[in-house]
Order: sequence, then structure tokens, then C-alpha cells
Amino acid sequence: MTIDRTIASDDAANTPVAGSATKARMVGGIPVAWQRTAFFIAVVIAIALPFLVKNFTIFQLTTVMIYAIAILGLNLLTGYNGQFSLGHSTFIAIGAYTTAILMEFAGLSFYGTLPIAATICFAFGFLFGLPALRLESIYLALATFALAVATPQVLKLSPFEHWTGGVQGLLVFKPEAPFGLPLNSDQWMYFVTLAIGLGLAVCAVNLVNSRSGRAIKAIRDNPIAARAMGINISLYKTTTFGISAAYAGIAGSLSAVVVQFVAPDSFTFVLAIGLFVGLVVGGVGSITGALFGGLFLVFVPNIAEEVSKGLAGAVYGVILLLVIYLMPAGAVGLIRTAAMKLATRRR
Amino acid sequence: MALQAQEAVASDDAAPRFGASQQPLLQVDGIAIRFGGIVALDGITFSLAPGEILGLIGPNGAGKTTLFNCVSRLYTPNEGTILFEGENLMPLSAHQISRLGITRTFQNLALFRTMSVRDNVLVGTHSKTGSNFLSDALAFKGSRTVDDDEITGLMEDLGLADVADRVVADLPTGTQKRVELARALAGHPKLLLLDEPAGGLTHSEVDELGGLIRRIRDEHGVTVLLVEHHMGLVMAISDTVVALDFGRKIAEGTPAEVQNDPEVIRAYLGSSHK
Repeated sequence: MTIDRTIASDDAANTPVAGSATKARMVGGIPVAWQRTAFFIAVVIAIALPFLVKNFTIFQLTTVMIYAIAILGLNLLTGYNGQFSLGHSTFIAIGAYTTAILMEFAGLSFYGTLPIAATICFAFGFLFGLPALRLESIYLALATFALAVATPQVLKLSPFEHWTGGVQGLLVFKPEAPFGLPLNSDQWMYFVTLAIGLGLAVCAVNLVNSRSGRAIKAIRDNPIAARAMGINISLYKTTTFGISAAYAGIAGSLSAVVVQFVAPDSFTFVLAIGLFVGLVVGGVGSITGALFGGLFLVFVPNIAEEVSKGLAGAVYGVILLLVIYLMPAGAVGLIRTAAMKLATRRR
Repeated sequence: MALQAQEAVASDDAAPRFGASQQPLLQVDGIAIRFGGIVALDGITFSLAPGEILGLIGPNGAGKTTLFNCVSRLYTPNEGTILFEGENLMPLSAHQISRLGITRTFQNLALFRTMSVRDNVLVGTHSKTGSNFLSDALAFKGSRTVDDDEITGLMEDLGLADVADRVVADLPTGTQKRVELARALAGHPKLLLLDEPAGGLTHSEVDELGGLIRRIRDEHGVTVLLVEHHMGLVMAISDTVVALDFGRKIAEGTPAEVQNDPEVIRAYLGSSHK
């Protein structure tokens, strides 16, 4: 096949790595060694930070990771599977209330409630995924938005008031560090969140690079071809919805104990849209992007407030516009482009 | 992978080819489908013997792709049945077809555009491998995993080795067509449905494609159902040709017979050329 070879060699010329005898292993045009090093440095910093900053900053950083977990879940659904959701605040609420109610009324420890919250959210997500199968893109966004709008009101309903605490919500106790570890409860919850977040991120990376992950992405790229390849679209879409909801539920469960409080008005559609903003700012279809999304959600409103108290909303809007304009592929897209340029230059 | 199949084809060569005694691999029986008031297919019947290359021809709108979509269960015909190795395909869903050993390519390329060439080909193995979300999230390797060497070999065979890690959307049409072919072959099909594989290719690429399809048939032991506008290609590689016009079958036979069939000539050139 001579023509094949000419086409192939053209392509090879465009690919910086092909043909060099000592080629470093690359993923996405960036040497794997660089990615490993960056990950290692990030983990070291993450472990050192709670001993270097004050308690309120630790709380903020924990919140960043909690947002990141929820954004990661949203990314699996929207970024990888192409299903929009403006209703993930609902799953965060379900996770948070599950933990709060079980700790308050069933006397369970926080750690016991976490898998229950994840399971309940998976079930809710899976069930919501069934009617969502019939809705395409923007219509699905609207349907999930309706869910987000309804959630705080449902939580306030008087028949549930005994369990949910109604408008006032429920107080939650923050677990102390076990085994006499020399950590205060903020530091301890930081490490719990870090461990859970890392575990969930590793699961997400494994998933998107696996057979299931390829099926999820194939459905997003071309559903008809995906079906012809034997992919059961309904099953994969609903399961992805369930997993995405479970991630949000875990984030909600963590937030309940970190904030030490659940109330209906913490879970309005503003939260859902915030997650969407975090998703886009961090990078759609990127696992590490979730962390940048979380950083944006926690710190940018503060920065905006420092710039101008009266115009904080407007400043936030301008920052958001600038970010989208300057980083159309999100923070991770920007970093990836820079690293690829650097990798090419060094060769 | 292809050796046992090659033998099967070789023994076919010795016997009178595709004799009526053999059980057909695919049997299309009286398929009819209407869209609103338009009759897209009207009682189509034909069958494919194992190892055969059958070319489906007809003018634009004759119903070729519609028939393809019926076999791959994207459409449900109003009447008729399709049997594959004696199993009725009608109760099955589109995603269950590839598990039986039927894979396809698409007329206007239906690749997973943001994914790499390798990932596209790997999706082709979906129905022949097994895993679930939990095992995948925990990176647990089950028993039904992909044979990486085999996928690499398949990509090398189709001239895709150098572009394996490239995103499909960046590649030229000819290469994308081969990615589709590799994806369809990755699932070890018994029957390969090719929908206008020559569309968008240059003259020399079409010549190579003909050789490639025959080679795939021989080496992978697949039966091929081919929809194609490029008459030269169909006539060169098909064992049998079925001609459709306005949803009806107007001729069936060897390429030479169909080429000289007055009905076919009329369908293509108009009645004044009778």
C-alpha cells in the first residue's frame, strides 16, 4: 500500500515524537516523566500545606477539594459522556443530608455515612438518567436545572421537617483526628478529603482510560457508531449519570461535616451553576481540571470582593470573562499547551 | 488470527464456489420498509454464503444504505426477516448485532473524532471484551481483555501504526477510512458491512482498496457485504452483485451477468438506451 505509506509518513513528520530512537514516553504530547514529577510535587505540597497555613485557609483548601470532587463527577458526565447537567447541586444536597440525618438520628459515624450517601446518590443519578435518555443536550440541561431549582424547596417541606430540620437545617459534628494523631479537626478533615479526593481521581483516570471509558467517550462522539460497535447506550449513559451523582454525593457528604451544618439554601441552583463554571474554567474533559475549577470557585469570589466590595459581582464576571477568553480550553488546556511547547523546544 | 479462516476459504475454492447446499451466513428475506408514504425497500430477498463478497449496487436512493441499516438494526423493517447463521436478527437491538459477529463501516465516516486512532480501534473490540465500571475504575484486569499485540498488528496491517496516537479528526479522509475498517475488524466479525468504502478516495486509493478488501476477506475470513457506487471496484472484487432500483431488486448474478442485464442498464442510463 504505497499511498498508505506516503500518508503515514506525512503524519509522522507532523508528530514530533515519531522516528526518534530515544523517544520518551508521551501522553498527550507531554513526557510522562514530567507529568509524574508534577503530580509528585503537587502531592508533597498538598501534604505540607495544612502545617503551614492558618485554620481558616485549611478550611478553604478543604472546600476547594470538595468542589473539585463534585466537578470531577460533573466532568465524567458532561466532559466525557456529553450529558449536560445544571442540577448537580441536588446530588450534593442528597449526599449532605444523608450524612447529616444518619449522624443525627441513626447515630452513625461520618465514615459510615459516606458510602451510604454515595450509594443513595448513585441510585438517584441512575434513575434520573433514565428519563434523561430521551433529552438531548440543552433540553437535558433545562431538565436538570428544574431539579436544582426544586431541591431547596423540597428540603424545606414541612412533612420532612422532622428529618431535615426544615429551613433551619441540621447541625453536624466534625470528627476529630483518631488514634491521638497530633492534628486538629480542620487538619484531619483536610487529610480525609485529600485521601478521598485522590482515590476518586485515580478511579476517574482509570475509568476514562478503560473499556468503559472508551465507551462513554464513544457515545459522546458518535452515538450511532457506538451502538454499531456493540455499546449499550442506555446502560452506559444511566450508569455514568449514577457515578457522576455519586461523586457529587460524596462531595456533599464531606461538605456537611466540614461546614458542620446543612441547610436548604446551601444547595440552590447557584451551586449547580457554580459547578458548571468550575468545570469550564478547569477544563472540560480533564481530570486535573477539577482542582483548578475548585480553586476558582473558592478564591475568585474572595479576590473579587477585595477588589471592590460594592461591585464584587461585576468584578467576578469580568474575571470569568477574561479566564474564558484567555483560556478557552480551561486552565488545564493552557498548562498542556505550555508544557507541549516546552517539550518540543527541548527536543 | 486469520489462519483457520484462510483454510476455510481455500476449501471453498476447491468446491464449486458458494454452492446452494451451504447454509447461508446471511439471509435477507422479503425485507420491506416504508418511511411515511415512501417505500424505501420493497420485498428484498438475497443471501450471502460464508466467504463471499456481495456487491450491492443501484442508483442514488435505490435503498442500499437503508438495507444496511436494517441488517445492523438501526432501522426496523415493516416486513420480512433477516437471519444470520440461522438466528433471527429482528428481535435484537442495534448494540447486540456486533456480538454475533456483524460489524460495519459508514458511508460518511462515523468515527469517534476526538479519540486517538488506537482508542477508535479498541472501541471495535467492545462487544468481544468484558468489564464493568467498577472493575475498570479499580483497574482490575478481567479475563476478557483486549489482546494489545493483536490490535497493534491490525493497525500495522492497515498502515495505521505511525498514527496510532493521533486524534482521528486531524487525519486525511483516506486514513480515516482505514481507521473505520480497522475498528470494524477489531471485533473479529464474521460479516463485514462496508458502506461506500471508496467514497472520497482518489483513483489510486480505490485500486488499493479493492486489493485490501479481498485480502481482508482471505486473511480474516470474513464475508463482505459491500454497498458501492464505484462500478469498477464492485465489478472487480464481488463474487455476486445485487442491483436495486427504487427499493426493488432488479438483478442478481455474477458481475458480468449484472453488467449486461437490460434492467440494470435501464436503471442506470434511462429507458431511451434500451
